Amino acid sequence: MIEVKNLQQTFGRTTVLQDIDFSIKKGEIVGLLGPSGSGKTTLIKTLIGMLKPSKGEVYVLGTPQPSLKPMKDIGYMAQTDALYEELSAKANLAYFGRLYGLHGKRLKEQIHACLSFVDLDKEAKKSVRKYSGGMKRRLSLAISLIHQPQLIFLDEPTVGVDPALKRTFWDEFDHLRNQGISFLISTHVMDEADRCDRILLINHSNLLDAGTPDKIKETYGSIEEAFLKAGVAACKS
Amino acid sequence: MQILTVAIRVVQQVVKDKRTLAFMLLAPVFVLSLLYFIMTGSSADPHMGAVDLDESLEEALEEEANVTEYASTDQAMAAMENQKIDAYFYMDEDKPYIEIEGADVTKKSPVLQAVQGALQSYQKTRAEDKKADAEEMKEELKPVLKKVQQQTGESLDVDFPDMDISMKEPEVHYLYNDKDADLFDQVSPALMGFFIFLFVFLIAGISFLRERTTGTLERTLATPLKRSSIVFGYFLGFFLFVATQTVIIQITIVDILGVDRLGNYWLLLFMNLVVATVALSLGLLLSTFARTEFQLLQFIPVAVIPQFFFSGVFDLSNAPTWVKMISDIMPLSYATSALQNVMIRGYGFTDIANDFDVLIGFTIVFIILNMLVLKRQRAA
Repeated sequence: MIEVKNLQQTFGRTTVLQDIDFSIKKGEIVGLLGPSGSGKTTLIKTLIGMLKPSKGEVYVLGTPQPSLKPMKDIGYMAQTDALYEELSAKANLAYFGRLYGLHGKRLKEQIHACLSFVDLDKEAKKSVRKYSGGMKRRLSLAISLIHQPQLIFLDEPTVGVDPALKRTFWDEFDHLRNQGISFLISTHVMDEADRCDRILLINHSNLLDAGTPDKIKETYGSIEEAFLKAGVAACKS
Repeated sequence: MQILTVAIRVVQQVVKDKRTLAFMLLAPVFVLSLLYFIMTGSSADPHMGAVDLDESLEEALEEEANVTEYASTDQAMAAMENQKIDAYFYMDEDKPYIEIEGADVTKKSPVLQAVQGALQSYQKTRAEDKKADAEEMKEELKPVLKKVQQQTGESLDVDFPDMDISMKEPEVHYLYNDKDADLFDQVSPALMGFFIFLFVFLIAGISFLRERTTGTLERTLATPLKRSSIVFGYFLGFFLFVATQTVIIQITIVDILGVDRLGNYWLLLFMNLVVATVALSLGLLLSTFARTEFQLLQFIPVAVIPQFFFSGVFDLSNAPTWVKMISDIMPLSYATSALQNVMIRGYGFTDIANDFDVLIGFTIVFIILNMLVLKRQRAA
C-alpha cells in the first residue's frame, strides 16, 4: 500500500526527514512514534501528497506521490481539527463527502454511519462552535472515514478523547483493519502503540527503528524506553 | 460539481455568520451615506472682511457672505491671521483685490463665488445708476436744448454714448455637471468603485485566510479536489454576496442619495460587478501572503489605499510620468475611469470596452497566480 524509498524532506536549510525507508502492507496498523518536532506530521503530509519529496520516492497505492489519483482512497485526520465552526457536524460531513464524490443516498448513509460511529448523532445539527475539544476530535475522525478509504492517516487522533471512547475507536480500527484497510497512526500514547501491528520509531528526522511492539520492547525494554531514547537522541542531534 | 460543493459551503458559512453578513451588506450603506451628508452639507456663507468698499459694493457683498468692515488692510490681515475671516476684499484704483486665507481649501471657491456674485450685482446696479443719471441729465438739458433751438433754429441733439460700464458678464458653461453639482456627485463613481473594492477585498481575503489558519484549506486540499475548483468555488460562493453588496451600494448612491446619473443603470451595475470581481480575485490572492488577519489588514495601506489616490478623486493630469505609470498598473484607475464615463458622461459599453478588457485581464492574472501559489499548500 505504501512504499517509501530513501525519502528526504528539506525546507530551505532545515532537514526535516532523511533516509526514510519503510513500507506498509494491506491490512496493518502502523504506529508512528516519536517526540514532537521529530517529523511525524511532515512524513504524513508527504505520504498523502501535500508535500513534494525533496529526494527519494514515495508510492501510495501504486502511484508515485504527489498525485491526486490516490486521494479518493485516502482518509486523513490532521493534528488540528480542521472544521468549519459555523456549520453543523452534518454539514461538515456532507461537504467533505461531496468533495470525495459521494452524493444522494450513499452520502446520507455514510453521514449517518460515521456520526453514529463517533457517537455524535444527537449533536449532528449543532454548530461545531458549540462542540467540546473531544467532540471536535471525534468529528474530525468521522470526516476521515466518510468515503470508506483504503488507507487512513491519523495524526494524533485520540488527543482529548476519553478512555472509553478511545477503546471504541481502537476496536473499530481493528475491525476495519480486518477488512483489509491500512492505518498509519501517529501517537504519543504508549497503550496505543501497544495495539499497533508495527511501530515506526522516529527521532529527529531519522527512522530510528521499526518492528512489532514486542520487538521494540525487546530492544529497548519497553515502549516508554524506546520513546525516551528517541527523545534523548533528538536532544543530542 | 466540486466547484458547486465549495460554493455552497461558502454560502452556508457566511449565512450562519450573521455579523459578517451584516457588515457586508450594511457597512457600505452607512459609510457612503455619511460621506454624502458630509460632502453635500450646504456650505455656510464664507466670512469675509471688507476694507473701505463702496457702499453699494459692500451691500452686494453682504448678500453673498458674512461681511465685517475693517478700517485698513492691516487690520483685516490681522483678523484673517486669527482665523476670524476666511478672506478680505478691497479695491485699489478700481481694481478688486481678494486675499484668501487658503489653509482651508474648501473655503476657496465659496469666497471666489461670493466676490464674483457681489461684483456682478454691483456693476449691474452701477450701470443702472449711470443710466438713470444720464436720463436725468438729458431731462435737465432738454429746456436748454429747446432754448438753443428756438434761438438758432437748428435742431441740436446731444447723444449720450452707451452708459453701460459693466464688463461683460462671464458666461459659465458646464459640460456635464450642472451648476449645483456638488463634490459628492463628481467623486461618487470613484467612491462607489473604491468602497466596493475595499469591502469585497476585506471579506474575501479574510474568509480565505481563515480557511488557511484553521487548517480547513489543507483538509479540503487533502481530498481529490482540484486546485482550480477551490478557487472557482470560492469565487462563485462569494460572488453571490458580492453581487448583493454591489447592488446595495449602487441603490444607495443612485436611488437613495439621488446622485445624478447619465449612463445606463444596468451598464453601471455590470461595471460595478466587474470591479467587485477584480477585488475578489485580488483579496483571495493576497490572503495567501498573510499569516494572520492582522497581516492581511497590513495590505490595505499598501494595496488598497494607494489605488484610491489614482481613482480619479485627485487630478493626475500634471503628475510626473512615474506616478502615471503606477496609475496604469492599478485596477482601480481603470474601474473609476469606466464608472465615471458611464455615470457622469453617459457613455455606452463600446466606449468603456478598453477599461473592461483590462479589468478582466487583471482578474484572470490574479486567479492564475492564486492557483499557482496554492501549490505551496498541496504539491499535486
